[in-house]
Amino acid sequence: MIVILTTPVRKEFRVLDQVLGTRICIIDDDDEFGRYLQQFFEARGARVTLYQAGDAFLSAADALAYDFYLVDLTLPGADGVDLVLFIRAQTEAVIIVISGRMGPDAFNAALVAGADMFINKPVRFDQVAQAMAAVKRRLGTGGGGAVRWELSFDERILRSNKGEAVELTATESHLLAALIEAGEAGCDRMTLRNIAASPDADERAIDAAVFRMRKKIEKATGRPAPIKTRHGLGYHVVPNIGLR
Amino acid sequence: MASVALLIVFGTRRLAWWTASDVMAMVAITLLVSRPLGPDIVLYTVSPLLVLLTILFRFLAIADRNTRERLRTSLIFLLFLFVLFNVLHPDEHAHIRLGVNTLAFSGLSGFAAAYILKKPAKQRSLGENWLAASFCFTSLVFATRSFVAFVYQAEHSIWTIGNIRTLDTKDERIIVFSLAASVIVLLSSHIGFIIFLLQRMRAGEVRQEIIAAREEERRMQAEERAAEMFKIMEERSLFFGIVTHEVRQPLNNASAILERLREELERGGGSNRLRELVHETERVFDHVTLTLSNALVAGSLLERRHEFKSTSCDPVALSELAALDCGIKNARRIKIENPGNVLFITADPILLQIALRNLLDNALRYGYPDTDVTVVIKEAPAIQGAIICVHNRETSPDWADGTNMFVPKQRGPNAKETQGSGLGLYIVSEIMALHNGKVDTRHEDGERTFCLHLPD
Repeated sequence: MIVILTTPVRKEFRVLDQVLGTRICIIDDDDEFGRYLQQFFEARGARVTLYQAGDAFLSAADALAYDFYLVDLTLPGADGVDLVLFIRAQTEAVIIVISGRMGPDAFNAALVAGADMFINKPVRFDQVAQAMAAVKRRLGTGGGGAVRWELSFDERILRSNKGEAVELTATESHLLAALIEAGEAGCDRMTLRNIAASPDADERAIDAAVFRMRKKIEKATGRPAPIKTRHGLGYHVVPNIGLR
Repeated sequence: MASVALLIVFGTRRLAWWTASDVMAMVAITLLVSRPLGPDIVLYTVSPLLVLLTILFRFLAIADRNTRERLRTSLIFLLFLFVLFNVLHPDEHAHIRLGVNTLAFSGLSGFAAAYILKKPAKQRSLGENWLAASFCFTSLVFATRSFVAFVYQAEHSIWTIGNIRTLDTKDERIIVFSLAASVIVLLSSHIGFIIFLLQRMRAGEVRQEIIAAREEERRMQAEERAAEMFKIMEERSLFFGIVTHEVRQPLNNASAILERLREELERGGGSNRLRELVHETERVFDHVTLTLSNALVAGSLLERRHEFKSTSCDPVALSELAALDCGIKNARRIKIENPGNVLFITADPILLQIALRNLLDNALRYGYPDTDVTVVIKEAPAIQGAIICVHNRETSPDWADGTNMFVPKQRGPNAKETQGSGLGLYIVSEIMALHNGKVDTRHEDGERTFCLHLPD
């Protein structure tokens, strides 16, 4: 079913509902941007705390008591990525990194550290609110951050540490188990064809089977599937997945 | 023996010909005393064919490959004539045969000398000069012998086979002189050939050294250029780093202040004109931000090709952010349709947002005013990814085939009154190329559509 979303402005009222009463932590050394962003959310009913340095945040007593963290990467003192790692290790709150850096290393480091989204400055305040709404919409009731997966081969169920579970077909569980056992090396399509007991099937059949499995996982959990494509070779799984 | 030894060591074609020549000479000299006719009568003859072959092979040893190829047919023909003449010529006029044969030897030796001497004197080596002198001497000796045979021995038919008699002192002197001359000629030409060969080898070594020196020079030049390029790339990276952060950060702050001002005005303060001015200022900032982002991406495409990274992205969220990039007023015209469930694609979120922003900016700029721009996002199992299409109403029949749109600095036919650098669609196509995807466009029934095909 195609859902036609309302325009971003009308969505703002939705955002208002979502931020009302929420606790937001802004960590940004830019005084003007930080203050105005704080005022923007406070005007919409959120409780906002602004820290202009990583050290000040880390020494705060209630540093881990927030629902949303808006973190800049370039900070005096502690590095933004280190702060993301620190927060993610101890909470499931939503972390959004807001940075002026454009290089692939910037977003990659932030997302690997556990951020839920990366947005690039210059950014409007309603874009920040939109990003928060998008992450919340995607995650639903589950929290943010790094996910650990576990495949129960006998039950043919893939579970996440956020409480989500996905039922797989026999073929899908065989394919996923093979990928988990192969680890970082991954499996090529021919190997997967043999595992799926379809040696006569062409590569597109394997691609279609993996694609269906990934979409099933994403729809059920609202999170990216733990299976990645390796161009020209086949597939591999993310590191944080196990087999039981 | 020396020739055979050199042939075994070096194995060149020239040495092969020279060795064959020595073999011919050896056989010819051996046969010189092989025809005793009686107790007091000895017939001293030399096989003319062997002598001719001796001289011929020596010539072939010093000639280059092209000359050998060119003269092959002629030499074979002359050899055939020579043999025919010697077989058919009657014995009673042996002096004529002798004269013609020695004349042929002289001519061939002279030809060999001329071949060497046609090279300018400054370019000839010592070995070549020695060989030329040797061939000239040989030619002179045989020419003299030919003259003697034609003139002197016509009167004295002592060389006819029928009446060879015991040689007197004069004949003995002629024979000894001939033998000595032959030995001198053979030996000197041998020495000359060895010098010639060694000098060619040395010239080859010198050429190799020159080539090696030139290659070394080219390698050093290439290294210097690579070092310069590396320095330029470092400076460029530094420049982009500064612009990315130090220029965009103040823009971010200015945008934040304007946004704050707009909110205050919308809460009831200020006149309509003031609100309009703030909107206009925000619009200019949006344009500056987009242009700056496009320029930064365009200037770092080469670097990004080598360092491209991607991550799982929510295309709906990115489309929403891109819509807001276009400003509050324009964002009201943008509708986003998603497939109704969570969808992830693998992409660089910053680049993809810039690509979407460019398409939306284009659609808003060139579409009918106050009409909607629609973003449709759907799964694409065929490419294991997703397709994001941007639709707007416009009349641009000249762009119908879309083939020139993605070239830098290409402006549309409706672009005369609007600002722009012609970089937007080019950036979109380059971003798609980085993602191993593509962008295409179509114009149907008054609607322009751009689609981003993003494989996994």
